[in-house]
Amino acid sequence: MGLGAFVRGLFPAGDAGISVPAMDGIFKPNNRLEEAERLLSLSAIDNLAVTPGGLLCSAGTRLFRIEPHGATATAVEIAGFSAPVTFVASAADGRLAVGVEGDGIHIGQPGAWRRIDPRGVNGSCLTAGAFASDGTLFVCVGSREHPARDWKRDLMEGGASGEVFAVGPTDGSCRVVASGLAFPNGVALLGDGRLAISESWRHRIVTIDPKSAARPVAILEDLPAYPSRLSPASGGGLWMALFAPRRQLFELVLREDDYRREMMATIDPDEWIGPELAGSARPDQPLSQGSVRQMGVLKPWAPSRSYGLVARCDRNGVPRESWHSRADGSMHGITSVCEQGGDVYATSRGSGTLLRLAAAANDGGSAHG
Amino acid sequence: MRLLKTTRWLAVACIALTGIVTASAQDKGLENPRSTTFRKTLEGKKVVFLPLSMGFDLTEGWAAVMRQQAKRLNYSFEIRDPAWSTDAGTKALQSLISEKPDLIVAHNPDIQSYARLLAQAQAAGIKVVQINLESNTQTDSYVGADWTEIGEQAAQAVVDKCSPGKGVSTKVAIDTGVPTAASDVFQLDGIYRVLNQHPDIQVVSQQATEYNPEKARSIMDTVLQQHPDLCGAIGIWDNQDTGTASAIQQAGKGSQVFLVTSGGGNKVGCENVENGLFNLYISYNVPLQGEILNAEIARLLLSDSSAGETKTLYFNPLTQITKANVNQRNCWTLDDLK
Amino acid sequence: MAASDALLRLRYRFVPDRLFGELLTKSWIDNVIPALALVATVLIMVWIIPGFVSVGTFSDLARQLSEFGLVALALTIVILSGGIDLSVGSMFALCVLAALVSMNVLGLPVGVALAATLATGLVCGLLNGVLIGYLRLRAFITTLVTLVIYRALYDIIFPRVASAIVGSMPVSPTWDLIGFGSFRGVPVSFIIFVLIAVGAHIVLSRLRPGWRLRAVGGARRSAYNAGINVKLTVCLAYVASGVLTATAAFLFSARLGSTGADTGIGMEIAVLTAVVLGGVSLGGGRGSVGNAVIGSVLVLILTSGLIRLSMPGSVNQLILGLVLIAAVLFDAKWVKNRGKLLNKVYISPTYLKLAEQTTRGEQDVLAVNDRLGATQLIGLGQVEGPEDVVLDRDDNLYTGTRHGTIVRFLAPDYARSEVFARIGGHPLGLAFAPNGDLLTCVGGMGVYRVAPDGKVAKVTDETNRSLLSVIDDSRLRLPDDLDVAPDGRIFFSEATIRYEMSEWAVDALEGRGNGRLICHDPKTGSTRTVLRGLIFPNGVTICRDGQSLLFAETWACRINRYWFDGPNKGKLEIFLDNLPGYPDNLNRGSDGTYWIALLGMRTRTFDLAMRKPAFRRRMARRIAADEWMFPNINRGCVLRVSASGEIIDALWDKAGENHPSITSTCEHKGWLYLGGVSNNRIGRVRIEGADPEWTSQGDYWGRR
Repeated sequence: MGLGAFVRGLFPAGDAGISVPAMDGIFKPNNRLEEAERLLSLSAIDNLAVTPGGLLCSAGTRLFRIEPHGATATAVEIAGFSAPVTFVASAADGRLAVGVEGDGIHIGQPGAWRRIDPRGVNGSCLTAGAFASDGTLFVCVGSREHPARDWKRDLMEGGASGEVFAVGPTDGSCRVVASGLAFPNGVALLGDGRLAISESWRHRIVTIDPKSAARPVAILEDLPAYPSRLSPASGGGLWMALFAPRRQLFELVLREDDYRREMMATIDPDEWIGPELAGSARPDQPLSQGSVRQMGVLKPWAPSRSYGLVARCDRNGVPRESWHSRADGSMHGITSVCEQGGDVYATSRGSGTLLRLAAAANDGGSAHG
Repeated sequence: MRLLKTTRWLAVACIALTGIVTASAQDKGLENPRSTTFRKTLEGKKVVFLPLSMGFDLTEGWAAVMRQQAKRLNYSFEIRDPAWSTDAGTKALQSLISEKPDLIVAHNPDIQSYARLLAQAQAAGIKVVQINLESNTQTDSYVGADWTEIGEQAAQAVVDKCSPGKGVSTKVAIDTGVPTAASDVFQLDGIYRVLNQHPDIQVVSQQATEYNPEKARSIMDTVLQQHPDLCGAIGIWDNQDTGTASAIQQAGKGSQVFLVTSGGGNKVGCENVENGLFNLYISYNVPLQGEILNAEIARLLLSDSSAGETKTLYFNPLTQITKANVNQRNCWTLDDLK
Repeated sequence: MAASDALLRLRYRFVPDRLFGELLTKSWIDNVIPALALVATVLIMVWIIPGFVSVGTFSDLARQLSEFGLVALALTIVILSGGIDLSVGSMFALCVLAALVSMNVLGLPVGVALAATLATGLVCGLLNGVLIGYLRLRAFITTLVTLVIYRALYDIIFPRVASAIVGSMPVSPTWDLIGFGSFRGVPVSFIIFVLIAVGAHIVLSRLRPGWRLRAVGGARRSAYNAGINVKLTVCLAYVASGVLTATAAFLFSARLGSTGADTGIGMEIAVLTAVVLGGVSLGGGRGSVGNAVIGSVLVLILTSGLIRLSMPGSVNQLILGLVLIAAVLFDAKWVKNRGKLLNKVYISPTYLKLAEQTTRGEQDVLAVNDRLGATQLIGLGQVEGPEDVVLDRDDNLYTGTRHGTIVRFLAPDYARSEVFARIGGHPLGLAFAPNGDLLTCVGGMGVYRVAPDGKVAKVTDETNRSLLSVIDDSRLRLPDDLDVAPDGRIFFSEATIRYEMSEWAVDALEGRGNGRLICHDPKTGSTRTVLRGLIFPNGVTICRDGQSLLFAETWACRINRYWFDGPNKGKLEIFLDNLPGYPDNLNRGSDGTYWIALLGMRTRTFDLAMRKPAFRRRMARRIAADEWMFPNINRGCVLRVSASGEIIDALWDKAGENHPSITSTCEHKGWLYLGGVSNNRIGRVRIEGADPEWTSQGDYWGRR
């Protein structure tokens, strides 16, 4: 600790400047996400899953198969559920796992679901899942207190009650492998059997060894945005969807207990200050001074509440490349990204769009590596 | 004033009367009214000492002696230390004039700087005693060495050693202090009074050391290089001349160069005589000066005459200390005085 | 909750947090801290030294100050020029020598001695000046070297003349007068010092050489680019330093009539301490005679106080050294952080509670529609910042731009435009006077008048200063909108007195009544503040009764009505409260209605923040301005209200792409024209069912 930091530490932090990591270095903004091919428009499109039978995606209460036709794609409904789908995962043998809000996990194939209702966990906040090679299913529970759609409330309450549990390959037995996480929102298996988990509210990626009781180990910290779902990249890397930006104002509100409590108590969550999946046209939405439209132009670097960001990490977990849709764009709220047959797809939940990314650099862990 | 005096006498008389009454039972001696007056008059008076600087033998010695008497007779004694700065000294003196103590003991950095201010101080009713270094203004009293006499004695000693045929040569060097100080101005006069009668003595160097032993050392160093056959040297102050002496010793000419210096006669100076660094040490005896100073302070504080009305001075006797007569009686340490 | 809110409101009403920031904006604040230090030192001295306050102390101080202060002035001038003069002490000694040799040794007349002394100082200063100004040597090293050189000269000459100097006293009444004399109890030397100091102050602060000196010291390159002879200016600074030092030396000589080997030694440090302590910035360009004097008095009191405390001399010097370090440290930190501190503390939010917004259904008059989504655009990309729009009797359209011009779009199609007038500041509110002159409120300037031929004249740029305001509120900072009463009086709003045009949005964060309504009477030429303490008063429009006016209080989301004439004169009442957005300009519409342009829409989160001033203050301090919470001004909305204050229509730009943040409207012949202060276009949209012949001019002044 430097002397300056030490001196500052002696005084209450009430006036200290708040900073968030800058979009810089590997996260230097570009427009690649905004300019990516928009294959399909599908409201509430969310989680992508690669199956032997093709690419699947969830949207609302339904499950679709994506059929690409060159520059466009169509979505064919293959299953419907009673409540919104919160995650989709697919095993190597073609088995699917679908999290349904308040209705457990459905494992199997469309039409032949086996329902598992994990005991002792919040079944309405199953945010992500992934199958291990032995058929074990790992599922993230964002929060013990709130359903998935109330993620904002969990953030504002400083939620750190998330868990990851494993579902046995045959008997469907459930076992918690990690808890006390701040909204685990994505899971992917690393080559060595460990799990990579995105911990949204702590802006970081941690790894968990499901076979040991060791504490989660952070491999990527201080992300400039809130991470969401993860998926393996060819060559051993990791795809990372980041669903909303971090802003100084959000961090301030998160520190301002009195203001935040009253905001939560008296104001509709849609109007709260905090991250969003998409920009809103409503006139009652909060705004930051830098987001004021000047001379007919909204600056791309304006501190917007939503943002589009996808990043790819190499096999060591170091980010190598990023795709952005900035304040003046609309491909915001990326919740899922996956690689299939050399193509990379991402879902902009904020705008309800399926995107195909133009992947570029090759550093040994790339999409085309 | 007269009324006051009368009242005072009356009071003394009353006290004496009661004394007689109470003493009638048993003889307990007589109270000396003069002693009481002496003490009463001095009590609560304010004496300020303005030295060149504190932190060296002379001023510390005088201060110690003066402080003792102040303690004994219960008057206040303060020191304003300008730390060798004439400017700070004048400022101190100026503020003393507005502060109006009863008496200032001034130690002049040179014979001019304080001269007018001392006159002003007396005009403002402050009695002024100058100590050891005079100024152009004669004040109520001066206590200290007669620098002319020191100069004459020093020159005479050098003449005795360096007259033609007596020493290696007739070359003599003089290290002065601050050219405008009384110790320089008047001592040089004394020196040249003697030297002028002995035209064979050559003065090869006369430089100011600003009381700085290091400067004195380097001056003597240079002189000895230019005049390896130097016979005698007159230094103006023992503290600075430790430098002169060390240059002589370093050149290995301790036995060749006859060094005369003067000072307050403290132990260090005496030791230097013993070591043979100084060949003749003319001491103006700080403890003695201190006592005379004390007597003058008491006299002036008791005196009814106003400041500057009568001007006296006393040049105290000097002691020539050589190896032969270095003894306890001639030398002092600060601890002795405290 | 209610009780704590009430407490909060009282606390923000009665504790004037804003004053601290306002004080910091004052330029004299640089002097305040040294002055406070001086007062503190004096108080401490009075406390610990009995009898410190006396006539003697002051005349004593005055005498010392005359010499010390002159040298401090000398050093101040050099430091102002961006340099430093360490040789003042040695120079001083040489000049003393010159004076004493002239007087005591050579027995010259006082005038000649003075000339000789000044000449000595001049030559010494000139040497420094040439070396530093023309040969571009480093000031520090150069004057360090000349310090040694001058001292060596002194040491060589002094012993040779010492006895002669002390041996004689000149007989000269003038000399004695300078040294000891006093005039009505004031020492003569002090009078000389005061005269010189006043002269130096005038030269430094009011005359060209002083400005040039500061410019050179502040930013040498800029000064050079501005055509200032940098070399000469620097050189002259050192010459001035030499001459002032010589003057001080002359006074010193007259006072003491003597000199010692140590004269001037250590003076540079004492004087440097004084100057820096007084607030002269070592970086150059900042400082004044006042600083030098304050610092000198401080150091003199400190040193004489310490001497009177019978401190050992070395301790005095140690203390002075520590004081110098502290002063230098403070100076560096202060110069660096004053702006930062000001930024941090200037914003001073207050409690502002707006009524709860009602939730509105689809059928509500305020429901979002897109009637402004497809406007006809005028001057897209040609105008920047058309805050207000107005049309003349010939249907030409006028608007101000942030480039400082008023642009005229020509009827009938408004495809062609021309610069009607160049103002120099951003014209905001516009209104036609009955004689056809266009009146405009210009941000940062005042109210101006443009004749039909395009000639610009100032109407007013100041009002009466309020007694208790710390910041000077007599100048107009942000006049916003105006209207003309039937008798020709101009009523205009000044949105805020605390912020400049470019920072108007910051005022939203404060939510305090920083604005006012002002009236200018062209008959008497006087301008008086009518109402103050208004919360961002914005649009002004005269009601049809000719006795009252409506004005918007933007951050309070309300429209007020104020009677300036007639039986209700002086009455102020709320016309329309709890608007869904922040009202900007108000304009008359056809059928006796009024148009209200909404600058932005309220958000519940911002409303909540307005009730939490401490939160907003922390926001202003902790996060970047771009991230500050703001009303939603990315949507556009215009309201139409009846004469009785009922909202009868609302026109929205739903996406906010063409007309976010509408700041003004103007109805003209069945069309509604829209302006926006941060927009680059003007829009017009047809108003269904409006009188196609109705014009604002006609409504005000009758049809032609």
